[in-house]
Amino acid sequence: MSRYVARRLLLIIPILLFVIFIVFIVLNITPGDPAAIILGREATPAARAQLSHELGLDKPVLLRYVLYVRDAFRLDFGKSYRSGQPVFKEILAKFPTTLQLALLSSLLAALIGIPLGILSAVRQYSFLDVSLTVSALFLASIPSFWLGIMLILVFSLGLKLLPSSGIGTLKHFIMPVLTLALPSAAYLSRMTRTMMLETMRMDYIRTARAKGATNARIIWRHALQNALMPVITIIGMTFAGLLGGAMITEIVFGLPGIGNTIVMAIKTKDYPIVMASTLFLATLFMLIMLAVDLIYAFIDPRIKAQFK
Amino acid sequence: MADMTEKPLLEIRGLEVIYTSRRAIVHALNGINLRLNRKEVLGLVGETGAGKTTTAFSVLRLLPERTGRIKAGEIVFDGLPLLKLSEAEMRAVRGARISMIFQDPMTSLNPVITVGDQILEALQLHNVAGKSPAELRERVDEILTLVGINPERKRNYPHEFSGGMKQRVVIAIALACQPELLIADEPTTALDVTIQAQVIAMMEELKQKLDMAMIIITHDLGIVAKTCDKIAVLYAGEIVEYGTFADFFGQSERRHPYTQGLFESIPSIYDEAERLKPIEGLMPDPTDLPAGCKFHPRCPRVMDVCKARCPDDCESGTHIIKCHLFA
Amino acid sequence: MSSITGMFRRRTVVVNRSHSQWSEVWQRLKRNKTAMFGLVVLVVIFTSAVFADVIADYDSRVLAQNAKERLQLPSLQHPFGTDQFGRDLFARIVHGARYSLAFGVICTLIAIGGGAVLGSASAFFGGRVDDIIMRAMDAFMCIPGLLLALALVSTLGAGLTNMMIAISISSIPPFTRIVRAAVLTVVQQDYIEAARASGVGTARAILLHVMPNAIGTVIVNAMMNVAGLILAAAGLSFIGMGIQPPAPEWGAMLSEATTYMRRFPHIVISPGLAILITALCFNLLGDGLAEALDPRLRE
Repeated sequence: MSRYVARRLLLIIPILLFVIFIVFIVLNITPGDPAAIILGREATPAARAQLSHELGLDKPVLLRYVLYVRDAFRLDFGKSYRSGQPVFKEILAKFPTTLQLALLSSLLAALIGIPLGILSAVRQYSFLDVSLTVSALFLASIPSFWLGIMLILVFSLGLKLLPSSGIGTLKHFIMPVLTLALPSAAYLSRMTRTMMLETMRMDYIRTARAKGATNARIIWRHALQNALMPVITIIGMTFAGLLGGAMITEIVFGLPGIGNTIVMAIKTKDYPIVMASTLFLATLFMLIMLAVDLIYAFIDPRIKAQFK
Repeated sequence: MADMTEKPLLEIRGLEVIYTSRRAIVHALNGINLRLNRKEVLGLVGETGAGKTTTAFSVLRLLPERTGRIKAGEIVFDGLPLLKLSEAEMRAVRGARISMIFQDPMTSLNPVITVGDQILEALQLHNVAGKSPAELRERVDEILTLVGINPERKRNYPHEFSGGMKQRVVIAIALACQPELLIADEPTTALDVTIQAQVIAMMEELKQKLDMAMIIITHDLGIVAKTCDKIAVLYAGEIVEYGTFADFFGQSERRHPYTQGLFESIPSIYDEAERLKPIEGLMPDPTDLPAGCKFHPRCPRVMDVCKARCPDDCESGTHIIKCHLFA
Repeated sequence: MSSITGMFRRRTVVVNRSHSQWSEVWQRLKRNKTAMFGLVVLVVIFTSAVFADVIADYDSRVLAQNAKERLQLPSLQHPFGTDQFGRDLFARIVHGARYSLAFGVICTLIAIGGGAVLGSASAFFGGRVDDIIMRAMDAFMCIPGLLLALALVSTLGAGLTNMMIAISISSIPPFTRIVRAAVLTVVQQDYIEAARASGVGTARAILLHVMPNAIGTVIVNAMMNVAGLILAAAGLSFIGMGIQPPAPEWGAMLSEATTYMRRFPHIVISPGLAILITALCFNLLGDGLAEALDPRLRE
């Protein structure tokens, strides 16, 4: 088992190399000059050239790629063009906020989405099912930033119940979490519903029924475990997606997380931050996927057997 | 014959079952009459789509809720009118007094629950006598041994068993509560021929040991010949021939033309035939059944009356044939 | 008899969608009221986008500023009210539909095209090519889509075409996977061997047999994808990295509107609702198609 984990961990590296490569290409398609931005408009060409040289920007792209990778292995991701601080530290400082946001949102999404999905499947074609389906599709179509704005409108500006931006207390998290959780809950409920419907049509459910099991028992003991296994993968993907996809929500609610930082960095062409954050998020994504696979292996006896 | 005097274990009278879909109504069963005594083995023979599985599902009331409906008829099991029972009462019957095993053992077992637990579940669901957990677990061991599986394997999962062994597990689950009637829906179709033989032999053994009545649903006359006391031939939702083993295999003059076709289509290892001899045509579309005798479009001995009028049941002792030829 | 009937019992054949099957799918879809609702509204939106100039003249209604009529609530003259520059919101939203629809549909088509090429190449050539392509797709999927689009827009520069390229790219990996899976299943089927044996060219065989089966999945995913891209495009414009004001793109409209939303919430509600309804219709249609196409999920 540990060999499998080690192998998977090693496989992450080539993909990360690819990721760095992709970002490098993207950021260097057009020669936008960070030196110019840092120094401002009045800078002389000479000053710009000198800064460029200092930052290593005058070297060919491929060479810079290799150097970056080499430094990355030593966890040296350079310094922010804007603040001059080591990038790694900055990212680490902003990470907890995003982590909390993603965690809470995923949890809420699962707590809401999965039971509703099961309910929908068990009562297929009923009014409840149809209304839940439409609600889910509705929530999945809401632009998250608009949902955020609407929540702010109602709860902050209207009812004056919740703070509209910043962090500090749990209250600050309520609306952002809702904004992120609701669409994810909708998606999860759809997936759960589909998985449950498929599972309920399996032959072993028929066997259970022929044994004289009650409906409740069939759902609880037989259907759920089989149906929820793929759903775990989706929860993992939701969590990973929220880590990287909460950018706009962080901006709307003024939360100092990674998403906010990335957008700022892109706008100001602060490339080291962009590179490192992307790398960071990609690594997290893959680690989460690995974790999900491992969980799978624990709960599905068929897969567990492959590792014995 | 014992038939007349003994009270039957299972009696089906005039059973009509339809499946409704948005497009059409499927007439799956069109008035079935069956009778089974204790410890008897009845073979239900027919092609795919004849209504065999529907019959079995009807007995246990396992028809799909939204689409299947029992339009008419009665099913009486040991004096109990099954169609009139509440769902809770029916659940008490399922798995405990009447058990059913299904065709494909590969998919009939829950992949994430151990084999032992699946058998245990059957016992727990019907633990009216209030046996202790220890006693129940003992019974699991007992039943595993009975079907020829080492009780130590009860902690294994279904995927760790071969096809034939899986089927034995399925049988174990069905027999756990010592049912009075076992319905086996094509128990060997999904298995290799050699495994088939093993499973059939085991079922024979169990029949002797357990005082249990069985309905074996199959399309294979060979299996019927080996195990059944009584045979019913199903065609397009009707029983076209019904009789004892002797009635079927002891003579060949009185036979429904369909049954005759079935016998003739079995290739013989002794004859030197060049072609197989199937029955011409296909079973009629259950949404659009022919008038008169439902077999008449394919019958080599069809007469005018067959196209117009449904034949009655022609009885001759224990042998009943639904055909104008024997009126 | 057992051997003969046995032969016909357990054959699973991958079915080609013939004409009658497509009409059957359409029949089933028609019965799904929510999907039909989505379709109808979508047609309305499309038509108004196409005829936007007829409905509301661009220069006078969409762009012209009119301080006298600022921030008016919905009325007969201005069905959705006016914004802080006195522009008619209804006209702006109608014109804005062009951007959203263009982004959603065109970018999805680009993604499908790219995915089809990569996916078929991957499945067809197998081996190293397959490995490289799939690793690349994995890498792309690790990068948050919005982030990738953002980075691309920032380096390519704002503008319609650039934005389209930027948004399409993150949608390519899922379609690559779908097409690759479809081609793989068909390539492994027996009847491809049979086709090859009888002289039919492999490429042609794959095309004839893969397409009908894969098309269902592709269409359903395409619908969902369009909805997602509409949201993504609006999001990019919202944070200022997409279509810039004064263009009446819905996301851009929202970002302009936040300053006044406290006292005039109506300027924030209509663009948001527009985005929501458009995306919703695609989702409803996609969901309806998924159910209509899947023979297993029905009774």
